[in-house]
Amino acid sequence: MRVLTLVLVAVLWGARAGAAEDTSDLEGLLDEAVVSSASKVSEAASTAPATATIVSGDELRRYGVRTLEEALNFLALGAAAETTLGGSQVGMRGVLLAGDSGNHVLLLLDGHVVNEAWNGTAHFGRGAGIPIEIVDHVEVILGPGSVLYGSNAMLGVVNVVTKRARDYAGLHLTLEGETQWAGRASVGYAREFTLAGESAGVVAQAEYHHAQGPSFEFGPQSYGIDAVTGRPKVFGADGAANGVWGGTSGDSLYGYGPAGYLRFRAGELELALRGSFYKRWTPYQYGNFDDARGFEQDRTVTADLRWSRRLSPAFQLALRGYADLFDYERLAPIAAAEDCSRGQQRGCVYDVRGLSQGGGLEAVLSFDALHDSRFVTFLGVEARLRRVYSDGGYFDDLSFSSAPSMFEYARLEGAAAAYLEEQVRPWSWLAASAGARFDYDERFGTHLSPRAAASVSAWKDGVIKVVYAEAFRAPTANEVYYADANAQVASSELKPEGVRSIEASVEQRVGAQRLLLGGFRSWWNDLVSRVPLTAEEIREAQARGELDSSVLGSVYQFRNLAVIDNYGGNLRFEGSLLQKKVRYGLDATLAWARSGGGDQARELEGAPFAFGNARVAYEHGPAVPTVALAVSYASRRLAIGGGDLHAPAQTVFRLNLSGALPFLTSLSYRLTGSYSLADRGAVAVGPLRGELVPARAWRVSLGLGYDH
Amino acid sequence: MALVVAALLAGALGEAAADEASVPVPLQVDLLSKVVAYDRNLPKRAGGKVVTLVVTKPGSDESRGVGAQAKAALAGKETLAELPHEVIAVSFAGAPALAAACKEHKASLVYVAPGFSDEEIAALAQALEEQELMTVAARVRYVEKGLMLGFDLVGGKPKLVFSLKQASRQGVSLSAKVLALMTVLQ
Repeated sequence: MRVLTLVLVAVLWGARAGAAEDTSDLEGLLDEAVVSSASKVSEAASTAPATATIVSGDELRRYGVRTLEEALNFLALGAAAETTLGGSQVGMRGVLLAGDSGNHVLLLLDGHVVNEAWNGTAHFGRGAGIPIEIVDHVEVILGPGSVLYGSNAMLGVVNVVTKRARDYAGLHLTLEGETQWAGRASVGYAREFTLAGESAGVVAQAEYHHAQGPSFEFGPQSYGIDAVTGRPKVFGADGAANGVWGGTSGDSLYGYGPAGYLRFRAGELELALRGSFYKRWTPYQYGNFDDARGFEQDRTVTADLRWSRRLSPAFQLALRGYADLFDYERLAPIAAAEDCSRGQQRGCVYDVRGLSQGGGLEAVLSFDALHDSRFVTFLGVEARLRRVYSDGGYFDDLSFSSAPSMFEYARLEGAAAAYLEEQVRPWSWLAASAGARFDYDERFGTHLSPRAAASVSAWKDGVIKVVYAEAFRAPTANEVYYADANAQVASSELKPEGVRSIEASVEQRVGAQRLLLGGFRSWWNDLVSRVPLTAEEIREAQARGELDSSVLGSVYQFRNLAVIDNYGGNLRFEGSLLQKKVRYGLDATLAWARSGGGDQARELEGAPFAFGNARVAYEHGPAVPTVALAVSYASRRLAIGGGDLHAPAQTVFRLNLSGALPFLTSLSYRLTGSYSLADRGAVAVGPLRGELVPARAWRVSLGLGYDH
Repeated sequence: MALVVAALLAGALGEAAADEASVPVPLQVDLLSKVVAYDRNLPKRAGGKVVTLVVTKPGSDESRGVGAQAKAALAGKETLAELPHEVIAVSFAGAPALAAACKEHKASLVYVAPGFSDEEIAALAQALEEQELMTVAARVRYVEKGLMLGFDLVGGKPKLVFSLKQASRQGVSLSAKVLALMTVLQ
């Protein structure tokens, strides 16, 4: 109550102080977010056909945010990343699909799909390979977004928009270090120029990061006897057979790699190139405990070429061609015989690779019937070709000289889509849109994704919005094609997962303050689950030759089985005082989500029912450090892979000081400290899944920047 | 290759799409209506009515489209700075003709749609310099070429870019408090 009183006094005092010339209305309008991802055209977020918010580059800098997962946790509405030592898992509006590798959120970089074509994976931590200095803003579009983008946009769409050359001109160097221990170096360059009489520009950024440690205590978890050898199970690289998992982790917690991005524009042509390599491991991954020989790595190269032209008063055409190369490998040394193939009494090495290569073309034609953007029809068509490949198995040792892979598949797949959307703004107070996208894919057949939305500016600076949308996630290549004659039957009949969502919101601006209140309801169906086959199904698969006749133990198959029911509400309150010297914001989401139905209803692993963030910053001017404090919160939640184990509520505080060095204004600094109240995250680890993954309590980092 | 061929074919038609990230026109107009209310000289300049000319470039589809949007949005503002407001669309026929039109209609605001070359903007700015009015640019680079107020999009939010030199020449007076919210070009 005391805090609320202080806030109200500050707000009123701020209003009184400016009463002589009140600029709060203008300040509030200058904080109106403009997004391009919700409709593929530039529009105010308040009237976009979705709940759309942005995180600006200034906010990223002000709060010392270095990754997308931090941006979502500290600065975004309705999204939360469950960050553990092994990476992050992103949920929105109370729905988180554990272990999905981010494939229910569509991640875009300047409109180019980042989710790779083999597993739909999108990283939101360091593995995203997007240097943070180059980010102009991040658009977070909550809810189903397949109407324009197709697969993966079930929870929402996150579009990272990079800076223009004019806003990033010059040379930029960054060096950062963090306790326990991480370092990062980054260099960027941008320039505007004229090329053959056309305005042109180039923006480029490259970085290298390396994180190592810290050490954590795990276990002990007394597992007992190896079912194959009859002796205490071996969990360590040193071969000690005592049946106990755990200890003090050493070098196996690491992550490193380079990344780079270049965008070149000349006239109406724009070329974007991206490359990244990301290698990492954790002490508790599949296989031996704390074995630094294990790794996961991604290699990515993408290219995007686009061109846009107005053909006539009514028609505008945009063309885009793109190509993506992705290569994934996971290698896990395993000392325990029972986790290996038959006959591998002394352990093995589990190795899996996944590759995707492909590209496509997209054309979007817009028809402006009255030549004034009041009635605009968008017609888009897209065609893609991709090759996916995967192999893997249990090898005797790291030389891979033993028998060939247990599984291997390669497919060349075609896909096409067409979408149509009508956007109408017949009067200044009404904006509406309706459309649908039809997808065809050799992997799963066809799918239709509709959307309808309307926003009404019902009173001064107030907007009411309603949206209905559907989205889908195509089954991954792994889910459809992966087969193992001893343990897994292929799932060639898998359908796409689907979600339907309806939401309503009210947004009100009063001077420089903005309030958004929204409610949502979503229904999820045909979610892919890995389920055990019955004895009869095993016999039938053996009869078809899909399983080895001597199979023992469980056999699995991916099936469209699960459903989720979800509803809840969002709140956002943000604003500024003292002519934007003080900025603050509060985002909160309350959501109920259950998988299954009736007596089978179960909490979603990793999904908090209450989450959000709050932030305040004071920016006086160049001579004084900018002080920014942010806090993120996630309520108690069911642990991922832990049965009924629950993770405690997590609150993370972040304090950031930044500014220019005195007398050396081309040099800047950033000092960031983070403190997590809970020392455990929401992932259960170990063979017994009896404990939660440890979380780092303290982080302190220092960054120096040079801008010329 | 298909993309390149299609681009070459379509390149024979129409004009290049705008290369600047743009603030949506309705938001530009909302911002403009706030800014003009802070112009201390507007009541004296406008007399009893604020007249806005929306200038478009003949033959430019983009200019016509943005101009139409701006006219519609401005027409929705029945008052500006608590004064009656009128919007008039003008097709550009040269800087001297525009200057004459501004005098004839006693314009207080001139909104210049995209589609003009840098030379045309410079000539237009020079021709209007003697008149007390505010020139407004749909594209921020026009401010660098001589217009007074423009709109930019940075960090996903609109920014106002303002030429103080042009403002002092044309009798537009904004307080330091308002200027602090803009990017001011000296």
